[in-house]
Amino acid sequence: MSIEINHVSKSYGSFQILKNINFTIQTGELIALLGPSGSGKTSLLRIVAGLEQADEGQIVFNGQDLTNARIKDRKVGFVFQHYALFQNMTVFHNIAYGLNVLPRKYRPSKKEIKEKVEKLLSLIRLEPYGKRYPSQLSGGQRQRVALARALAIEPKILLLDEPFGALDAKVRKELRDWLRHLHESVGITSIFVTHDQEEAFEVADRVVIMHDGKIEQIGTPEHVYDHPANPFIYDFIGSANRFEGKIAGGKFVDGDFETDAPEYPGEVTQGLGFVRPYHFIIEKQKSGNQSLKAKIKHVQPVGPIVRLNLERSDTHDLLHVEMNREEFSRLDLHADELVHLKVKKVQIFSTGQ
Amino acid sequence: MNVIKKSRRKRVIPGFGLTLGLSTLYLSLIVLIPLSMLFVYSARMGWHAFWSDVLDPRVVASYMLSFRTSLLAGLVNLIFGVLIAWVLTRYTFPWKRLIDGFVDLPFALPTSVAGITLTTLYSANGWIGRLLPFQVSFTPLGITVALIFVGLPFVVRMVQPVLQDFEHEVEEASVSLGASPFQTFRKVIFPQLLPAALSGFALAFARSLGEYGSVVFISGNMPFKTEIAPLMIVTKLEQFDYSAATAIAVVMLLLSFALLLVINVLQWWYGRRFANN
Amino acid sequence: MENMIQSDVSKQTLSVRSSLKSAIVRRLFISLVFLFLFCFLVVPLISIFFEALRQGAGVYFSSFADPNTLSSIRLTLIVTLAVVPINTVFGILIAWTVTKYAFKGKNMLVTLVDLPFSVSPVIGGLIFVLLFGEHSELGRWLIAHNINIVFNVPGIVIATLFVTFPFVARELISLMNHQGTALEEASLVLGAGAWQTFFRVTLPNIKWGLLYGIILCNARAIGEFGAVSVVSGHISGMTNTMPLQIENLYNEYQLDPAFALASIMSLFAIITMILKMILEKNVQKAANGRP
Repeated sequence: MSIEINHVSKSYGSFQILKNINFTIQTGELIALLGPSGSGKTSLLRIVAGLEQADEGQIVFNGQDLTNARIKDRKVGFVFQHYALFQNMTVFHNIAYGLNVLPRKYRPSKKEIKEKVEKLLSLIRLEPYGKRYPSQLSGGQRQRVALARALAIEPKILLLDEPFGALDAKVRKELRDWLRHLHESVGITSIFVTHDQEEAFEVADRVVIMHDGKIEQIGTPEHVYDHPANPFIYDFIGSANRFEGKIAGGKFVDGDFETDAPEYPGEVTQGLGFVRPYHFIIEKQKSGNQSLKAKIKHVQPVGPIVRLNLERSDTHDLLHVEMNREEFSRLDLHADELVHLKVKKVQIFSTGQ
Repeated sequence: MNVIKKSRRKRVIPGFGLTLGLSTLYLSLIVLIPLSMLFVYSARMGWHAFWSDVLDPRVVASYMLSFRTSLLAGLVNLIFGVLIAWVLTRYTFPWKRLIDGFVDLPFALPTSVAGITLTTLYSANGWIGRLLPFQVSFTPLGITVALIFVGLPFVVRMVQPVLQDFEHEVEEASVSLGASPFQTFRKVIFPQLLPAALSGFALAFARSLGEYGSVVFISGNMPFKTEIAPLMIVTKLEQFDYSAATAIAVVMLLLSFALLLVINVLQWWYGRRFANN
Repeated sequence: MENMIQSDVSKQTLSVRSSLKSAIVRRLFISLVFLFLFCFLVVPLISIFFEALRQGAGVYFSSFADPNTLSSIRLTLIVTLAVVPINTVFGILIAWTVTKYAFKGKNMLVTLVDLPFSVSPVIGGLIFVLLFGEHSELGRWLIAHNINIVFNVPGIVIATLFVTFPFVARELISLMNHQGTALEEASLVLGAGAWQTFFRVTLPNIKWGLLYGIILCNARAIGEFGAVSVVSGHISGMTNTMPLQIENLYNEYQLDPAFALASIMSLFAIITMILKMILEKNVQKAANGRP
């Protein structure tokens, strides 16, 4: 089932949480809504589910306008951030809830419900836990029960609000792989909200990056990572060193740092440059003229790579550089040593003026 | 151009219109309309009659008495309430849970039962009255005793949760920085406790001002000496002087509203402090 | 090094001294609290039963043979049975309204809920005398049609409704505010309707808080004195509830029957307190029960 979100806006009092959101999700896609807190991603998810009303705009499922449809007519599966499991019911009855509340003529027989719940219990690998209460489960188990409960009504779309937010790192990783696997086997159109970029990039087919109630960029994880559309995304995705300077005559200059900026041939403007930590070359001897002098402040080996903190000699700003172990030992670098930096790749944005 | 349309405003959980309608109806019938009768009735009286009823010396004496005794009882409850809450949250001793529950007795015991019991106890040959060299029953002191009984749980129940939630680490931090236990209490615990203790005091005070059942027996009801304000309303009603009863009630009601406002401000203050921590 | 040891030692003596001091403070505080509660709560409670049983069991039980006392017990039962269910239903309704929806004027509604607690019970009686008595148009019309509310059972019921209304509503508002709306939303997303959501999800989650509110409402309904005293007219055998009958007996210097009746009410108050203590734990759990 495809989802169209057409010009959706929403305010809480005088605060506008969503500003004209507009995009389409294809059938069977797994989409991540990624953004810092307060960016409006959860509000958007709740509007798609019908848990909140948009002030303006439309929500269209498979060509059918459901903007004003009641929640129960939307047939969405929703997994709540803190699971919202019914404490007074066993795991079995939590999962069966959506079937038990169907009007009698649509309600499956007791036997069919039992079979279905058992199938779901095996899907979430909790077969022996049907008789337990939610309070007797671990966080990861509760999360899976919440998922099974949402899937029991055979929703046409699945919405997940920060599905792994409250779990510890290891369980998180496991569930992430499991969700990806589940999505591939069930093939249901899904949207999940997260503030964790690693999570979004690892699981989603496409990532929608939101900031301040607006969409900053939509694309596959590779595309967004390799071609950030603007300075916000460069800052938000991955780590990057930031240079503030001027663009003039096809060159970007910040202090002693100078690099070609062929995208902006004739203009004279303020600009920002971003360099990923692994896009530096460190030399002991200066070569060429696009080179920056810096002092090594701190060396920290982490697994197969080495992280270096360097202080620029001109502005005294810190730079973060990463290189592999072999490279590091070949160069024989030490703290307090003066070196020269060149960049392999830099992204320049004009900021106007 | 895509369709941009205003969506129909509605609430997600169904049933809003019905439940709001019924709630408002019930509250109007049982609270709002009856209470507004006081103002309708006193508006009909005219200023002159209203003021002469309100400022009648016997009535003024009853306000003063109610205010004095309620204030005194409130202060006693403030001090002992904080002490009880402190002991119940900080120390362990036998029967603690029982004693904790027992604090609510004044809430559960019908006021007329409390009234006749306290009167009997504090009368000249009662268990306690016999031991005291001065008279308690049928004096303002007796009224104060009854009001202490009635208002006892308020401060305890307001302060207790604050002390319970109080982070032990904060206290330990204060002690580790060299503060004495008294300094720790005065500079760290007391400021956090104050809003809750004051709201408890205001609640007890408000309750005492309006209290009737437990006081009428022990007060003796002598004009100008031991007549409390609620009793004046009843007395005027018994004389079929509805206007005077209404006028006194309006004054008391306005006083309660003022106290309610104070309590709300205190609780808001408390909420803000709590959020900051 | 030596210095450190020395300061350690001096610190230790200091902490021994301060722990000794705090032990004394502890003793003092606990004793003060015991003394205060003993004088103000324990002695009165014991004295009620002592006064009631002073003349022996025979006199005690014969107190309840008085037809006026019996009719007061009956009236109190009737009033309580009428008041508690009504205030329970509307308490749930109002708590649901103010905690599950956002709307303008919500604070007004909550203030109205709290109002009866901040008004003197005597005023709680007076307003219904003014509303339904012969001094208002409504009252005159009712009396002309032979509907007597004031100085009659309906007046007692209505005044008690006013005084006891906040118990259920307040308890539920604070509990349901704490619980939020996530569970109801989950239920609706899974296709349940409003009634199904209420009975299957909301009610099981608030049942302890509801019971707690009902018990407090019930205790107050049984024991209410001021408001009922104003509207009842004190007609013995007709409009006297138990607390009013206690007053009557006491004023007629019939102390033994007065305390006999008081002892029943005290017993009931003790049961209320015990139930309250048991329920309090469950309510706490329900409020924090979210994972």
